[in-house]
Amino acid sequence: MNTSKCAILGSPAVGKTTLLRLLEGKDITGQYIPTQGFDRGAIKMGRNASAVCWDFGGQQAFYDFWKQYILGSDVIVVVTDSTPVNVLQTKQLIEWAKRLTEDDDANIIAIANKQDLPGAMAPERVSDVLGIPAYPMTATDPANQEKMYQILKNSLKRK
Amino acid sequence: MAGNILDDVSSVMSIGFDMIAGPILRWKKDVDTINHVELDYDHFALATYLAFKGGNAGGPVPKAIVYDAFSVVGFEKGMDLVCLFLKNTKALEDISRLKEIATSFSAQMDKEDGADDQEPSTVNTAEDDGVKEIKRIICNMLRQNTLPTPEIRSHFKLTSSEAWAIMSALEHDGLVKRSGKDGRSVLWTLA
Repeated sequence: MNTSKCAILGSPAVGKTTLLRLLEGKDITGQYIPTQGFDRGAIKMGRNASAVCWDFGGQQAFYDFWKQYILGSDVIVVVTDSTPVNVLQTKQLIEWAKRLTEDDDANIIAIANKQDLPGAMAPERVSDVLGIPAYPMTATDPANQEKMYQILKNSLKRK
Repeated sequence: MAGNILDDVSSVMSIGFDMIAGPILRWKKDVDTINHVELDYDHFALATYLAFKGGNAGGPVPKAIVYDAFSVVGFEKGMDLVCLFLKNTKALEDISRLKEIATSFSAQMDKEDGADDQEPSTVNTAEDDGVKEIKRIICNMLRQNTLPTPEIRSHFKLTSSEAWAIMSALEHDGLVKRSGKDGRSVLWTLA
């Protein structure tokens, strides 16, 4: 069995846990319950492969966990809620994650989440600001499960 | 019996959850000013909070953690955790009485905190990056949800007037609206 490691990072309340629940096919309530520390979920990626996704709490107190646990990631999924304020914060976060994982050569992608909300920045614009590929997403919509699965799968292939 | 158990409590701490900073030591009191545990409570608060409330996956959570020299029993109060430091494990036999004691200290903390919800006549609308981040998170929290002002306030280490300033600004911008009242508190939801 080939197991990959995926780290899901981002500011508080951008939808990291919802994204993981979407990938796992779990119920999505749309309510914000902050992740305490971190959670993990396993995603089957075909017959003999799986991805273990680490969903980290976005609050500052948990940054020490990020430092310890994102090492060895094959792909880092950075989530933004697509508001201008948060996209700029996310840019700093990506620089930090790049420095931290430069030995791992991890593939870093962005998810421009909450595209259903008014004023959401277009993914092309998010990608321009962040300097990495950004994929549009509404993680609260279960219909996007296959789309998110393909994004993750392709990101792992590109490694 | 009840008095005996209170004698076993050396300290009380309340750990809050700030939506930006994470778990924070909100309040602490040494009940026994001589025989209390000497440690870095700020640092201990994070580990304790995660031990009692860690993760989203569900499953069993501890009622108490036993250390060499003391025990800690924790009780959830919304997003907060009220902890009693016990001098020995004997007191753990009466968890319901410990919960009463924790509730009583929690009420004392709320009183000292002055958690009222009176709308001030004037509000300070000054905005910095921290306020922008609080506004962003509040909008996300109120999606498909309603919250009273004191609860919003407690999530962000805000004073009553600061909370009102932020909610009034969001209301003025058409991002949130009042959806009713919960007792004396205004309920907010996404506009």
